Amino acid sequence: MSKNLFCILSHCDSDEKKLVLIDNINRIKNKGFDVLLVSHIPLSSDITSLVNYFVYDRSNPILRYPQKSLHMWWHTTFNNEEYELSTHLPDYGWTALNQIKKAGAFCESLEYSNYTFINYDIQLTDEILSNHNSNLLSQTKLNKKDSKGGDLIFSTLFFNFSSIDLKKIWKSLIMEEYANGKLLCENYFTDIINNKDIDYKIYPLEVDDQLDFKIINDGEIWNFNTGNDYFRLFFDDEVIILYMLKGDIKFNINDTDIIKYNDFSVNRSQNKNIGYYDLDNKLVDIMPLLKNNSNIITKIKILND
Amino acid sequence: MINKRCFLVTAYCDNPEKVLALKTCLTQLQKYNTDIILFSHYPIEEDIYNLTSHAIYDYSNPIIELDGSRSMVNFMRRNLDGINLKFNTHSFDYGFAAAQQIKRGLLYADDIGYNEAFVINYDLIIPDEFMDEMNVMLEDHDSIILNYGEGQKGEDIIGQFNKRIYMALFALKIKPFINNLKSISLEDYYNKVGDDIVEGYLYPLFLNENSIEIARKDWEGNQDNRKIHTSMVMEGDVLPNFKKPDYSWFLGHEIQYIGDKRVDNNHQLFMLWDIKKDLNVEICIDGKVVNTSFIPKKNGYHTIQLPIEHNQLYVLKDKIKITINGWIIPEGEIKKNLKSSIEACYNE
Repeated sequence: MSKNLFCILSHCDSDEKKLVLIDNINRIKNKGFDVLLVSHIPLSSDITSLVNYFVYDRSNPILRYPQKSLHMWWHTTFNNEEYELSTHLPDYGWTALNQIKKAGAFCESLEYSNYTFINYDIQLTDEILSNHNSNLLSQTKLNKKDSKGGDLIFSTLFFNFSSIDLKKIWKSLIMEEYANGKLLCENYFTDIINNKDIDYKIYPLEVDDQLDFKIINDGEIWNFNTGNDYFRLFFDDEVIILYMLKGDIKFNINDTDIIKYNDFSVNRSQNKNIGYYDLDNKLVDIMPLLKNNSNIITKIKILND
Repeated sequence: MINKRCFLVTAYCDNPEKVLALKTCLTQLQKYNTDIILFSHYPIEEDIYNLTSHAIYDYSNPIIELDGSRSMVNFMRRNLDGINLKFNTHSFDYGFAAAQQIKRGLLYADDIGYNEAFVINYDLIIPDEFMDEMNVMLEDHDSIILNYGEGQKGEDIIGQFNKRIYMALFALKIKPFINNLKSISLEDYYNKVGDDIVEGYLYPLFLNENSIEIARKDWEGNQDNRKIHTSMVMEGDVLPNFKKPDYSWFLGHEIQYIGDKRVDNNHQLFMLWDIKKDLNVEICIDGKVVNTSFIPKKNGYHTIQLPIEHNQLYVLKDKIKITINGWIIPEGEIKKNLKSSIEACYNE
């Protein structure tokens, strides 16, 4: 077989994502390439019948704290006390690597000479949609909002490997090794390639995706008050911090009204009812904002204790 | 080390009945708490994925079409006026497609960390007791083969090959057979299958000195008490393909059996039976009318020998036109029956 097999990594859990996937499949097929699609979620036969091979793996192995997580922290001062707020977001890196591993395993019994991997929402170009005969790694912007260039990082959005090298790579991807290490998905992936002494070229053009995937919006990492901008809210299992109050705000804590002018914290277990009065002096319950999100683990630590 | 086991369910479900059979099979397998890999050559409906741990849809489905090189025989029997007849038809050879499913499915299972597999066809119904027996046997054996060939001799011309694997169910430790699995290819299939069928081709590939074979009578049971059975009949009664409301028709070359000896006389026959109304038949070859017949209803059946030899049919296949009471047998039907045959006086 002379042409590459295009292997699409996907997690299309919305109609918007599915439309992008279908469009990209059609673009690849129109160029005459065969397509292998990988997914951790079932897809309808309307989509799978568009491709040559579909590999489904139910596991969708998202790693979470304490196994591995995306850890962010913020040192700040509330009421003259220094705090460390930290957040552990789930690590989705292994889900992508697991898809590469499963696709690689299936490709073992196929006879294509080169395998081109793309993410389902990559912005395809004629250059990407060509018959690649050498190993390639691509790069994307570290910060997408940086329109003036900015740092580039290796990306799993697009890469190409010969069948021999793909075999070396997928067999070397080991979840325990990834989970126990500190490397991000892309760094772990490139480390594997470098450790195996696999030659590759860097694809000269920047690649980008079409859809922006975020576990949590940037503005909500340190503020779970999504209902208004009167104050900011952060909490863990024990403590609730209300900070950056816009003026004096009347709260109702355990059925007692109290006006607060500055940042304050309350013990979560001792305060079962917390609300505030809005501009119309209507009491708004904030307890629904304190529901734990299983995807996000938060910790609050007082540093000058 | 505890072996990690999976069920590899192979499927081609292109109609609602087959899809239902697949769902039933997958649902029944849930009770064993064993991971399921579904391998299909036909797109799978979304809800079926939830019954599996892994699923693969492989578009390739390498069916060997009727190019004269390979085909599958199906047959039906009729007795007309005391004459025993056997009508043999040939269809596409799905054998290599099935072999490839097993190859790719088992290699994938091995690659993602499974050591043992039960290969199960999508429409198979397996009693718990039989599964338990196989479970115990696999502890001490590298593979469990349900012998499929034995017992077929005398029922089927090609039944002379009595060493075959029942592909709808077998179990194995995968590693000892990796090299054999990798050897499966279309070229290898053509080279080795000969006059046999895929079950015969695969039989030696899943057999080693530590295999156990189960005789057909021991796994099949009898007609009243089937031990395991399939709910779908892939290629069973072919009669409906040739049945019209007022007659049945068949195009095939003549085979006679004299004693145990098969004699191919190269005659190309066109046969009609179950005639319920008077029939006017016209046969044209290469634009020339070579036969016109009036067949009264009371005859019940009628045979016409075409003025060509059977081996000329491959050359003339596009130039044969048979009309019965104004209905023209479709060209595709003629092509499907290039290898079909009518056996007369076969030995019971």
